This record gives sequence, structure tokens and C-alpha cells, in this order.
Amino acid sequence: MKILIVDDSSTMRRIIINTLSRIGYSDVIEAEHGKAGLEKLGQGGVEMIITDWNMPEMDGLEFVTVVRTTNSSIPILMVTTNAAKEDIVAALQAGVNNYVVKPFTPDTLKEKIESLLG
Amino acid sequence: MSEFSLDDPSFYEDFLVEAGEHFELIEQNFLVLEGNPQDLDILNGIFRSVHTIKGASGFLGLAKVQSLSHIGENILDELRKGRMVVTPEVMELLFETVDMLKVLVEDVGVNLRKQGTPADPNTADLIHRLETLRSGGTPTPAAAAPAPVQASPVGALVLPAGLSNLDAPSRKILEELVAQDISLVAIKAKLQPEIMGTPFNPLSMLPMADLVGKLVHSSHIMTASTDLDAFQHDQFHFDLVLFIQPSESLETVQKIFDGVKNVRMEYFLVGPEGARSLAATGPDKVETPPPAVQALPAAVQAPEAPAPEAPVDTGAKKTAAPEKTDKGSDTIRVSQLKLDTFMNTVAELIICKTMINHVVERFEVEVTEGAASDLVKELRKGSVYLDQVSKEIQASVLGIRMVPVKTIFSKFPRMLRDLAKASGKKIELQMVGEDTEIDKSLIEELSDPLIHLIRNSADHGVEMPEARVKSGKSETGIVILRARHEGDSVLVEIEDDGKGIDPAVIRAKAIEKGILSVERAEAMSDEEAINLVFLAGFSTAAKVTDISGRGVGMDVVRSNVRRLNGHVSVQSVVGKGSIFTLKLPLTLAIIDALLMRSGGQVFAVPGTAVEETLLVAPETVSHLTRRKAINLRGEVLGITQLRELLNFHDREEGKLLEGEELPVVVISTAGRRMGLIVDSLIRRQEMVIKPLAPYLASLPGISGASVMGDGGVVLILDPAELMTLAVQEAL
Repeated sequence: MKILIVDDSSTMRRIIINTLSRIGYSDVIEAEHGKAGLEKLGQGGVEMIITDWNMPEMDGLEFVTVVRTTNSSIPILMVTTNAAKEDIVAALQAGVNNYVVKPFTPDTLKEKIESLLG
Repeated sequence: MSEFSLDDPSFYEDFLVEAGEHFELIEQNFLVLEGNPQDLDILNGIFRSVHTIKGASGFLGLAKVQSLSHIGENILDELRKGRMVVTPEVMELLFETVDMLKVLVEDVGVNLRKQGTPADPNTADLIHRLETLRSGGTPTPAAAAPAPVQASPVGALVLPAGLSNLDAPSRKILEELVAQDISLVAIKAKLQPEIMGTPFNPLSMLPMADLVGKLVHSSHIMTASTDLDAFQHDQFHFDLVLFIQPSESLETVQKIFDGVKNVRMEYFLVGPEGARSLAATGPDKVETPPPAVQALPAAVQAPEAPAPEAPVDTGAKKTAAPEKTDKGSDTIRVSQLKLDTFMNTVAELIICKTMINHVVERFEVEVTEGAASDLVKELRKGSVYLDQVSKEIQASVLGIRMVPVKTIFSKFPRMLRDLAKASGKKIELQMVGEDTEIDKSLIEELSDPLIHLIRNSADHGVEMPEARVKSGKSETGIVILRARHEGDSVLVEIEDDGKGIDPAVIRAKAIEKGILSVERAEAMSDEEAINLVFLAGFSTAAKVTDISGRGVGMDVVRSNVRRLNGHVSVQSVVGKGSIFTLKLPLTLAIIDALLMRSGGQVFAVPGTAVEETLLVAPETVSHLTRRKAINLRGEVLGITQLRELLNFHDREEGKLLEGEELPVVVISTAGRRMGLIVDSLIRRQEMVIKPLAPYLASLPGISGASVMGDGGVVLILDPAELMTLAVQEAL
């Protein structure tokens, strides 16, 4: 399954990729913000999106909003910190299916991914 | 964090680089923010940086970084949401927070490389002050009260009317939980027809439960009558029910779930306490809460209208704040070490190339006939090609190592701000040419001298506001930091419109300190005089201040800059201001140099210092006291024998014939010129600078060494030091 990771922090992208590979997902493509994410998405084949919220150019919320205008079914997982609970509600409203709070364990991520696929 | 161990140190290396970039960005943003406290884009930019640092530090197990950035992030969040205001106190505390974060992140580097001792600062006090600021700046509903219901085990579960249709299996689960003394909040979510067509998936409410506690069960309650005639297609005929074991107050739970649009929420308390009370009042008919939880209405209707807008104005998150440049797929990060190794290898390649050229040249002289001469021609072609290719490789590696001076300039606005604040002056920093590129290894070395020069301008240059006004200037002093390329050099200028340097004062000081004789001081031009500030032990500060009096003088600036094969000079007009100029080579490792022979030794002078070469007839040399001089196009130019200057005891002395013209190399640095008499000039070529062996390093006038094509060693001359030697000799 091809997973698109959208995060402006290269450290975070590495951590997510590393975690995904531990739980058996290795087909991963990356984008450093929402705009780049949309481009990558346009290339096709992406089956799940894991996105950060706070990013330059286009943040995670805008990104999800744009994705949802054309694709209502692709599972979207938002990676965030628990700083702003109201924000998470807003993200879910925008079409995020689930979220994971940083820092997360491989198990948590696995659980979240499975909840999206299940 | 331990279950997520990241053994790979490169994660930490990445983090250090990334955090460093964010610190720079934060400081730039802070400075803008001070001027425009309302700027939401800037606040968002800062928030994002702190947020990123916090996110990564959590993974890497950097607890202190995480907790400090967490509280910092909270405050920034309050600020950007308008619940707190940017005041000078807030700014100071934010600056302090970032400074502390920097120290903490530096410690990560120290621990990682096992070099030095971590500062390991205590963050508790700062965190406390931040917490106080936050709670003072906002009415505090924040503290999460624990779930209100205290338990005592009781029997069968009685549900309020709103939940009376709950299915039997769910009931059973709830009964078991309540029997275990667990209090729950039940949320009945009535989906409104408007929700269709929005991207919101009602099932996303399930993960929302994690925000306020633990989702212990979920179900749904059918609402439609079984009467098919009453069935309406644009209505939902079931309500979602979530049972949450809360970790937050009911108020918080409501606040969170009320944020969901197009869903009407009803809230219920389900717990041992509630069950008992309900049991007392009678089954199935009670919609009001039991007395024990009176303060928290058990059933709270969300308003009919869509719930209040989520407090985050998502539109405002678009930023125009200074951004890090994209560094996605088309750039890679390479460690400095790898680049240095590459650079050194290229340097070796250039030595090889020079050796081969040398051999080819000899072949060309020796072999002029026969089949072998054709081979020599082939060889020449090959060596020309090698020449081109190695030049290209050299240019690319140098290009890779080039970074814009912005990377160090960016820390100066903050520094100057602090300096101005500490001294009560008003200073504006302008930066020009921040995109000028310079070798990475140079830029690191450039930082300290620049810090000192800027401090100097702030402290000794720019006057106090009153004094400025008195002398007809604007209250705010201007310091301009300027960088540009000039040939193979980079010029960095620090200009201020302050009081300037008075040559008379400098002369007097130099005489007083015994640096100069009265005669010499008077013979000096004003420009020469003010450049005396770079001499060791020279400080004209009327008082030693917190800013400059750190035991580091201009002489350290000069020696640092010289070590980089550069030089520093100053021009000044009393009352108008000063310009300090640093001139540095583009790169450290390879220089263009003029080779010459003197006293049997080959020397090289950096090409940047060579003004011209001359042949001088011995009879035109005049002897002024102990110095030799010539008349060069109407100007007097002091000349001296290089080998004498360096005390090289000449194996080949007397080789010069009487009447033979003397080759003279005119060098100039810091606006001063002199001529070096050598035995012969060799050629101009690129030289790879090798560090000097320790026993050579102390040789006056020599800054480095290189290896020639024939394997011979070349000593690289330090023009500025030669000047000093010549002056001493003449005294």
C-alpha cells in the first residue's frame, strides 16, 4: 500500500517512515507541505495519507480540505500534538479520518492505520 | 519514550540542523513581531517552528526541550488566538525561552559528539514564569478537573431517558463498567441532515473521544419509528452514542464535542453515583442529574444553530512569514565532514595535476624530436584536458561549499537589539547583500570577528540618543552590514553613522602606550593611524562596558581574519562614522598565488595581495635612514629584501650581479604597500594550502605551506605580517 507522508520536518518524516517500516509499510512517498502533497497525490497510486498540521505553504488542514473536494474516500491520518484539542475537532470536520498524537509509539501508529483501513 | 528508541545518531544530527534552522527563523520572526505585535502570520510562523521542535524532541526523548517548547507553544497559541497580547514582558520571556531552548539543543550536540560538557541548565524557573505568565494572561478554565463522580459500588444500571433505547449488549457492557466503579460520560450525537455533503465522517467522532479520555464503548440508537410512511430519506434515523471514561472535566468534554458542526450533542453522566441517585428517583423517567453532580448538567443541548466556529481561523494559517526554503526532494544534506574530505581530495588532485604539468613541461623541453615527441604532444593534450576537468571539479566542490552569509548575518539583528537595549541606545541594523556566498568553513570563522565588530560599532560607534540629536543626527543610529564579491574575494563591511575614530586620539594613545614614537606617530597618515586600533593592547573605550569589555580586542579580530588569509581595515570620518572592511578569500583551501624565489627558498604570495611586479635598476634605489625605497610613478615605495626580512640565511647570496635589475613584487594590504626584492619570479598558479607543521607555524611572516608539482615545499607569505616585520626592522 502506497502511503503519502506530508510533513515539513525531515526529522518527522524520517521518524514516520522508520515507524511505518517497522510495522510493515515500506511503500512511502514524501512531501514537505500541502502543496507538494497535492502534486504527489496527482501522480496517482496513493492509498493513504499521513499528514502533519503545521506546515508552510499549505498547512495540513487546507491540504485535507482540498483533497476532500475531489477524493472523499482516501483514508487520512493527521499527525499532531495534543496542544490544541479544538483543532483536532476542526481537522476531523475537514475530513481527517483519524489522528495520532506526537510522540507516538509504533503500536499506536499501527493501531491508527488499521482503524483507517478496517 | 523508551519503547521508541532511536539508536541511530543521525536522527539527532538531523534534529540539530533542523532545530538550528528553526531558531534562526524564530529570531527573525521575533524581531518582526516586536514591531508588529498583531501580525498573525508571524505568530503562526513562530508557533510552527516551536511546534516542530517540540514534536521532534518528544520522539528523541529530549524531555527538557519538549517540556519547555510545550509551554512556549501554549503561550504562542494563546497569542495567535488573541487570548493573550504581545507585550514587552511577553517578548522578553519568549526570547529567553528560545535562548534556553538553544542551550538545551546545543547540549544535545555536546552529548552526541561526546565533546565538552553539557550546560544542562535548570529550566524549572523559566517554565514556572511561563506558566505564571500564561495563567495571568488568561482566565484559567484550563485546569482539567477530574471526572466529578466519586464512586461507591451499586447494582443495576439505570439510564436516563435519552439513553433508554440503548441496545441490550451495550447496557450489559455499561453495567459491568459501572460495577467496577467507573464513571462515564455518554454523548448522544444526533446527526443533522446538513452533514451530508460535508467531508466530515461521523465515525471520526470516535477518535475524538481520545481527546478527553478513553472511548470505552460506542453504539447507536435507532430514532426512526418503524412506520415506513414516516421514513424520510433526508434524515438520519439513528443517533451515535459514545461512552467515554473522561480524563477531563465534563465542561471540557462538552467544549470539544460542541465544536462538531451539524451534529447536536446531548451529554449524560453514567456512574455508580448517578445510578444510585437515579434508582432512588425511579427508573427510566429521570432526565435531571443526581444532586451529587448538580453543578454539571447531565443533559446539555448543543445550540440549534451550528455549533460556534472552532476557535481556529483556518484561513489565517496561511503564512507570508519568512519561510525556510523548500528542501524536499531536490536537495540533500551532506555532512560537513564528507565535504571537507571531498575538498581535500580535490586539493590533492590539483597537486597531482600540477606535478603532471611540471613533468610535461620538462618533457617538452627535453624531447623535441622523433616518435617520443609525438607522445609528448599527446601527453600535453591529456594534461590540458586534465587541467580543465580538475578546474571544473574544483569549481563544483567550491560551489557546493558555498553558503550565503545570511546564515550568520541572521543572528545579528537579535544581537544588536540586545546591545541597544542594554546600552539605552537606539540602533537600527540594515543588511545588504545577505545572499553573497562564501565558503562554509570561512563563514564559521567569520562569525566571531563580525560579532566583535558589530559590538564595537554599537558600543564605541553609535552615540547615545541625546548626543546624536545634539550633533544634528537622528536619534536612531544606523549600523549597516554589507557583503559583496570583489574578484576572488568577499568583502564584508560594518558601517556605522556614529562618532567615528579620531586619529589624533589614536596617535596620542599609541604614544602613551609606547607603541609608537612621537616622530613616527606624526609621520603617519590619518588612515594609518586609525588602523592602529587593530594592534594588540589597543582599546580606546572610555569605559569598559558590558558590551565590549570582554577582554577581546580588535587585535583578535585582526589575527582571526588573517588566519583566513584575509585582512581587516577601517576608514573613518570623525563625527560621521566608520566603516570596517573585512576582505576574505572566497575559499580557504585553494588560493591563486604568485611564486617567487628568494634565498634558495620558494615563496608564494596570495594573488589578492599582489599589486604588480617590477624590475628595478639597483641605482634607482634610495636609502632612507635604514629603509630602502624607490620612486614608483611619483610615490615613495619602501622596498626590502624578502630573505632578509624573514632571516633566511641565504645559501645563494651574492648571486645577483652588480647592475642587474632587481625583481620586485609590490604587495598591498589594508591600504599599505611595500615592495619585496626577490631573486626571481617563477609564475602565478593555484596553490593548495596545507596547514603548517607546528615548528613552522611560529615563523613570522609565514601563514601556510603548499606542495609544488616537483614535490618541493612552498611557504606562503602573510602580507600583513610582512608589513609589520618591515616596520619593526626600520625602527
